Formats: sequence, structure tokens, C-alpha cells
Amino acid sequence: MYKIILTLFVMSALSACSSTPYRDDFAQHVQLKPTHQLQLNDITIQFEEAEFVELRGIYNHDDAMSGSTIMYDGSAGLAGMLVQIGAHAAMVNSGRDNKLSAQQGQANKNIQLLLDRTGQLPLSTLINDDSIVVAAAKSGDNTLRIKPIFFSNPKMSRLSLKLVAWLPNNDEKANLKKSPFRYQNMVHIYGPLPEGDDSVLLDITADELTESYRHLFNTAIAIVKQDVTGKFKLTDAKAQSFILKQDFRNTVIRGKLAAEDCNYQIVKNLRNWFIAIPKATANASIAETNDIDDKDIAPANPTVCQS
Amino acid sequence: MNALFKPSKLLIILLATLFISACGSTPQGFVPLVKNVVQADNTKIGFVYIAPEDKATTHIYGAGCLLCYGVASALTSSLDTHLESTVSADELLVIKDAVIAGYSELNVELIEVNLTTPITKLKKFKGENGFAEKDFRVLKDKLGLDMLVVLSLDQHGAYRSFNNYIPNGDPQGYIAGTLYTVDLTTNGYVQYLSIADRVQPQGEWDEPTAFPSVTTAYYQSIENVKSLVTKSL
Repeated sequence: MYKIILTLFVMSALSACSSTPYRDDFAQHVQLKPTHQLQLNDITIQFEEAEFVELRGIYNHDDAMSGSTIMYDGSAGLAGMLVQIGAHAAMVNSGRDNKLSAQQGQANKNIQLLLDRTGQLPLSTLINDDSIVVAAAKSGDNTLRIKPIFFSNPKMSRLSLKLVAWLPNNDEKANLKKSPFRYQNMVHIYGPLPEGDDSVLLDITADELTESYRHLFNTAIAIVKQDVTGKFKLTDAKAQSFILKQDFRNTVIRGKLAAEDCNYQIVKNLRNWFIAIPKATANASIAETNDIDDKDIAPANPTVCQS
Repeated sequence: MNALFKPSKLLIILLATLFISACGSTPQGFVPLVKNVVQADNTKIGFVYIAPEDKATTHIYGAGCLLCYGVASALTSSLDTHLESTVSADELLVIKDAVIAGYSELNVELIEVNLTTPITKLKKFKGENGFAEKDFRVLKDKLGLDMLVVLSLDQHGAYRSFNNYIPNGDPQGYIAGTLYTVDLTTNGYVQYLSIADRVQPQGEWDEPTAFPSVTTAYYQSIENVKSLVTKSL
């Protein structure tokens, strides 16, 4: 009986410790109800917590701590035992947070040259149609809030973008603490991977660098717009593994093909995020990859590029 | 004297020594594939794939007491249910295919064989490091082969490290096993590759019932092992 009670206490104490440290490049998917879908021409955009391009280094997400031996004092009784386990858990959790933070810091140091080169690039200068950008005071029911975070690989040869987009819950009867969003999702789009070890993003001109940010940004916005207007129709097919070529090892994207054109495969992953995988071969330059615009995204149909 | 060496104590000491001596043996290290040996003319090479016996589950390490293990199991029970119900050992067949394709690239055609006696039931072989622990030589005439390639995938699913009651990190995608080639004349390894791939899930992991991060990490692990196997050949 004593052991069962102790197990229950320990489990409830540990349930908090089993969570993953908070990250802002992450979004819990909230499906927009079909009746709430937006009209493409009515959509406006508001930059949330972001005015300039935010660039980060790609970092290792492994925050696991190595095991260290710890001895609990058995004479402290049940309460004492729980206090000790709680203190131990807090120590491990703090260590995990610190490890993740250190890895992110180191990753940013690795791309310092690119960070310096990018400087303070306003997001408003990147968007193709700046007439849809509105200030917070003018936002409405059709205003998508977006927070883009750009990433560079350590080699500084490839950019990617994680764009979190959401629509606040405007239902007056809704419990906003429980359901703050009508819609929330993330698009993760990758630029083409150049061949070789050159730091391509340092070698190209400032205009070309801006163009590569612009391309990812506008394509991601186009994908979000397609999502909130209900353009993606997915089948009930089983999830598949899609391969994204990376510097050292291929990354698996597990999900269903939502759309594709000659430049991108857009996969809806198990988390319902849209992952845009470039089809461009290693030799393709950034300039060779065209933006996806509102009309370009076709339902999954590989024959589109063959014609 | 009598108190020190009572027969029962002596027996326990002897048994413990015998038991611990097994832990003292040096584990087999990596042996790169000797390509010219497998590519030699008229060499007949068989291939055995051993799938995991158990369903995909969370493999717990570091929970050092019975109660700790109970707590650890309870913390991962819903993930276990998900893995057991959605992940089939058939997912691992791409790794088997990668071995066959890798040898094919070397212009070596593997002959798939079924062993009537499991490898674990073969007699022990008393050799040094670099030789198989079981005596594979008996298979030479039985199967009419010169070498045998064995891909044995022992564990798959997730891996979670604990420090007694406390998880050290998130459950990771996990595949473990070995790929080895044995010369059936000498019982020596022509290749030995230990496989233990762990993949950190991206973002929050504890999302029942679908566990998208850990599931993706598992498929990433399959891809990593496939790539590891291909590179080793």
C-alpha cells in the first residue's frame, strides 16, 4: 500500500518534469473550422513580436542530460523523499534548459558573419504585396498574425524559415484562456541546398541575400493563405516518409503530400504543419527557385512538372 | 578459517566470480567490411535477417530500482501503447533492403536463407575479438555457403534515459541491432557494425495519442540506420 501511494505521489510530481522546455519556434496546430475559412482577397497580415528579420543558427535539439548518481536520504520519511525527488527533478530540468540555451547560443555564434551581414532587415520590405500588411490598431477578423524566424545552417549556405501564423479567437462566448486561437499553424520552408562547402550566403550580393529571405517569406505566407482559405485537400492515405536533403544526413518528414509544383513538395506532417521541401537539385541557385504564389499551389499532382 | 570458507559461502563466491567474469569480456568493436574478400570469385554469400522479437516499445535505461522502473514505465505507458499499436516491424524492412542493395552495388548477390536453428542456439566459439561468439562453421556445409551476412535488429521504438526516478530527457526514436558478416571457414568477422541509433524528437514530445514528434523521430532513426548500413558497405 505504502509503495502504491509513493508511486502515485512520485508520478504526479514527475509529470511536470517530463515536459519539453518551451520553444518559440513551435506551434500547436489549431484547425480552422470550415465555416470560418477566409476569402483570399480579404486577408490582411500583422507582424507579431517581429519587425525585422530574426535569424538563428540551426541547433541540436538534444537536451538530454547524462545520468548522474544521486543518493536519497531514506531516513527523511515519505515527505522528505518527495522533497528530495522534487529537488532532483528541478535540477535535471534546469540542466536541460541550460543545455538547450547553450546549444542555441553556440549555433548563433557559428553564423555570426551572416547575422552581421543581414543586419536589421525590415520584414515590411520583404513582402511582395505590402498593401495587405496592417498595424495592430487596424487588425480585424481577417488579419493573420505571423511570427517568422529564419534559420541558417552552420555552413551559411542554406536558409530556412519557420513561420508561425494564427487567428485570435473572436468568439465572444469562447473561453480565451482555454482556446485563444481560431487558427494556429506553422510553415517550415527550406531554401535549396547548394553543393560544396562554400558559405554561399556570404558570397552572394546583398540584394541576392535579401531576395532569398523574400522568397522564403512570401512562399510561406502563400502556403498559410492557402490553408486558411481551405485550398489543401488531403486524402485519407497513410502517412509516408519524405526525405529532405541536409548537409550531413537526410531528414525525414513524416506526413502526407498536400501539394506540389516544380519547385516544392508541400507536406502536411504528423503535427499538421506544412513543410515545404525544395525539389531543386543541389546545383540550383536561389534565383532559380520561383516563389509559390496564391495561384501556383496545385493539389498533389506530380505530372504538373512533366508537361 | 571455517567461518570464512563455509561451503555455501564458497559456492556463492565461485558462482558470483563466474557470473561477473562474463561481464569482463571486451565487447566486439567495429570491423570495416573487407570488400575484396566478399567480392572474390565464386564466393557464395548467404543473408539472414532477424526481425525484433518484441513489438515497438519504449526502452528504459537508468531506472535503477524496482520502484524507479515502475514509475518510469508508468510515465511512458501511453507512448508504449501508441508504438505497439501503430508501428510494425515491417517498417524496418527498408534496412534489410539497404543491405541487399549495398551488396548489389559491390556486384555481390546475397542468397537469402532461412536458418532451421536460431543463431542463439549455435554452439559457443572460443575465439578472440574479431571472431563470432557462436560457431557458424557448422553452417558452411549445411547451407553450401562461404560467408553469412546477418542483420539482426533487436530493439525498436523509443529510448528514454532515467536517473532513478527522474527522466534525463525526452523519449528518443530508437533502433538497435548488429550487422555482421562471418567467414564460415574461419568463423572470423569480415564485417561487424553495431547499430544503436537515437533521434531526439523535435519540440514537445508528450502529445498522446498520436505522439507526432516521437513517431517522426522513430522514422528518422530508420533513415539514419539505413544510411549507416549503406555507408558501411
